[in-house]
Amino acid sequence: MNGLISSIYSFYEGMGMPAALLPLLPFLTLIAAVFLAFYLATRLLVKKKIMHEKTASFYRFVSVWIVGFLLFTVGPMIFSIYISFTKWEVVSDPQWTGLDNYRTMFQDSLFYKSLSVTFYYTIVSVPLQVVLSFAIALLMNLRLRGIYVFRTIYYLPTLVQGVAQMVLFIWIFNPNVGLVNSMLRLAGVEGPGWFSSPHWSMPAVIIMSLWTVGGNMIIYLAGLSDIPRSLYEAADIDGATASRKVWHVTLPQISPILFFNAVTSMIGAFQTFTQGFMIEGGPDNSVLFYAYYLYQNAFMWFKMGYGSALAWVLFVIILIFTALVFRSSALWVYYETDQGGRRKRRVRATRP
Amino acid sequence: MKKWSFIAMSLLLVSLVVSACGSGNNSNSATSTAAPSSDSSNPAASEGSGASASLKGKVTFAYWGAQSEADAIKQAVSSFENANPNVKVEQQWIQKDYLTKLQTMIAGGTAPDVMLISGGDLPGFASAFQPLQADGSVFSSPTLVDSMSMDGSLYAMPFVIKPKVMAINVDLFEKNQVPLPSPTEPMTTEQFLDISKKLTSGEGASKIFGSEPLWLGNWIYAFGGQYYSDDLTKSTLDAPEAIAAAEFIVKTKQDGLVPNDTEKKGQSMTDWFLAGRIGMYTDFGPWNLPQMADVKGFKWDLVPFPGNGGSKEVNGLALSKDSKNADAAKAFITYMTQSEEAQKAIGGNKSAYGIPVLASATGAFETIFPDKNLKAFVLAAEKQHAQEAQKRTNEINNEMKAIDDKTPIGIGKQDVKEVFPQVAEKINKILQQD
Repeated sequence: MNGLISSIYSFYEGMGMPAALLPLLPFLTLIAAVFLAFYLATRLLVKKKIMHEKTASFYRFVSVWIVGFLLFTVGPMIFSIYISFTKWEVVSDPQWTGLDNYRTMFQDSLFYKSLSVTFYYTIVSVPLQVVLSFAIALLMNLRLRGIYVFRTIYYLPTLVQGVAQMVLFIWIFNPNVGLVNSMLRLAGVEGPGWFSSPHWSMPAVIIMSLWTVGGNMIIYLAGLSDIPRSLYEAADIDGATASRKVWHVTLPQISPILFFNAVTSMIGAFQTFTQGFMIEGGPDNSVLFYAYYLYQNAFMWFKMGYGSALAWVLFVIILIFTALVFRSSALWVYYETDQGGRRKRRVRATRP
Repeated sequence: MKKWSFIAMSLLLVSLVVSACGSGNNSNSATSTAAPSSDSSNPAASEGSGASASLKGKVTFAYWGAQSEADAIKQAVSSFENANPNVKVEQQWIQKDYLTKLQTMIAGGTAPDVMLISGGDLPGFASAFQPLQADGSVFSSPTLVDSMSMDGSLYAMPFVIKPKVMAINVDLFEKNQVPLPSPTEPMTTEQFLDISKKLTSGEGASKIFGSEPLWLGNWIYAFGGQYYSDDLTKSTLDAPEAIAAAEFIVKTKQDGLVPNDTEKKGQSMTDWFLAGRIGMYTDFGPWNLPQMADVKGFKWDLVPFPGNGGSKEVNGLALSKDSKNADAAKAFITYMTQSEEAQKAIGGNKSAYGIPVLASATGAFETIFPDKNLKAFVLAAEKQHAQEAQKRTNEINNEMKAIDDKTPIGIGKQDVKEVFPQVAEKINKILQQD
């Protein structure tokens, strides 16, 4: 491959291309060649009457995305499987070490530490996020004058995310001059060290994660407005109280959205990185998130092989937990359109 | 066929447009040159700049630094280009994430020919560099070559030194009737403690401290300790010297001679020194000098680091093992590190980039602030302990965080006697990895 690239390189060099373009041209030539090959292949299929002209056009149009996906997502993923079986210090060539990286993990105390940090965060913050954003959505769904202003206000924090959010909260949680401790001091309480305390840095990160519940709130709001009014009217006629209406009408109707939010929040929580990165794992590794530990290994400690192995273990963990949540969904998620399916029957079976 | 050629043409057009957009980027390609031998078997080319006529082509050179430091380097580079008109040096000034970018370029096969590298980072990158030959006696201190070597091979040519000295607030000394320390002989650690006590006064937001919080990375050497055994195979944090240094640091904290964790949180100690709130600033590197030009409120000066402590950072120039124009690159390295002109440009830079590695050029550094004792820096550049380097520095630093987290040096409560051996043991485990 390298030989091919350098021969394309010298070809353009011979043509007298500007030096600034030279590193890019082999790359673009190869991409163009891939598209060309794809085009020719579909043409051949059409000629041989294996594929209809319109189908071929469809594939040609989506090929831009497909090629990008294959080259820049699937390709690196497959390469990282290979790398995970090697010792690769990036600046030298990879050496095959078999399962060594995976074996090291079992003796690596920081691996366990990062796992427990990540699980702690996921288990506490995801339910909090789901409940809080749903509760806010219920409030924001009230038909009041000026409710749109409140919706906007509750959504606004979502616009400050990632590094910017973390910078903001490092100041909010500053033990001396931060907003939180200043308020506590007014109330006569001496606040903890937050990000500089091994015990309080994780609670601080969890509190921080609730800052962005506005994003999920919008999704719930959309779901809430989809619930037919007739269901509530029927409940009214039966004399249901407000809380009964939430339990028997709102919750079942919105359960697919709850499910969606729970799954995406959970995957997001397992992949938390910025919070750990910005305070370098926190005091005593108290916020050593798995994704940050992976990054440390791969990009700071020159252990690309071990980092890749960690990444694949995280992938498997997320896969297992997502599968578990999907399995459990048969018990609590109600799909109106899912008539007569297996899941529907199970839902009925659990009801008295 | 018509349609076919249309598609081919449009693809070509798109690729040209895209490449035109990317043309603003720095390229890091080396044009191939007429110079036939690119292997390192020709040491004659690396000796001196006499062979300038036969050198041609392009040399790519990557470095990090602030604007002022880049200015110093650019000046030295242009004097090289004047001496070698056929060689073009393409500079890659990398302002952020230098090591990560270097790593990516090396892995991608587009490593620059010449790379600036600090002694501390050298072990991690040595496998991407070519061994060089040098006569250690040309430099101001023959040990400079050692701090750029691994297992007996020199992987980067010493280029600039950044030692540590101590800045003092002269007015504060006079006000408290403390005699000024010697400009050439370091005070003892006991004297430092004594003076700190005399300089500390006041309470609360206007309290004046004897010193800024002490850093183990400097003070361990003041107590005769070091981080690793001489052969770099073992951590010596469990040695009595290291523990004595740690206890000293804890004592200055507990006696209130330095700002505590709450007081220093989010504060710049340099600013505090400039504001006259700190009597002695021990972690003072050349990069602090430009700020000192603004000091108007009080007299200041520089003295050697107490107890011969502190550590100097030596930065060197390394040659990529994949360099396509190695002869010119070697000549460039030799010029930058061993010609008086380049070294004077580096040392004489008004923003104090660092101390030149050539003894004949250190005078240029001392004239930046003629009325201050910059000689202290030059002495430290010769004598100070060099930064200790390990291949797995980043991983070790991560274990070293325990010192701050668990002992009173930082926010912890455990005894340093207990924690240091534990940390040493964890570091030893990292060192045992192959």
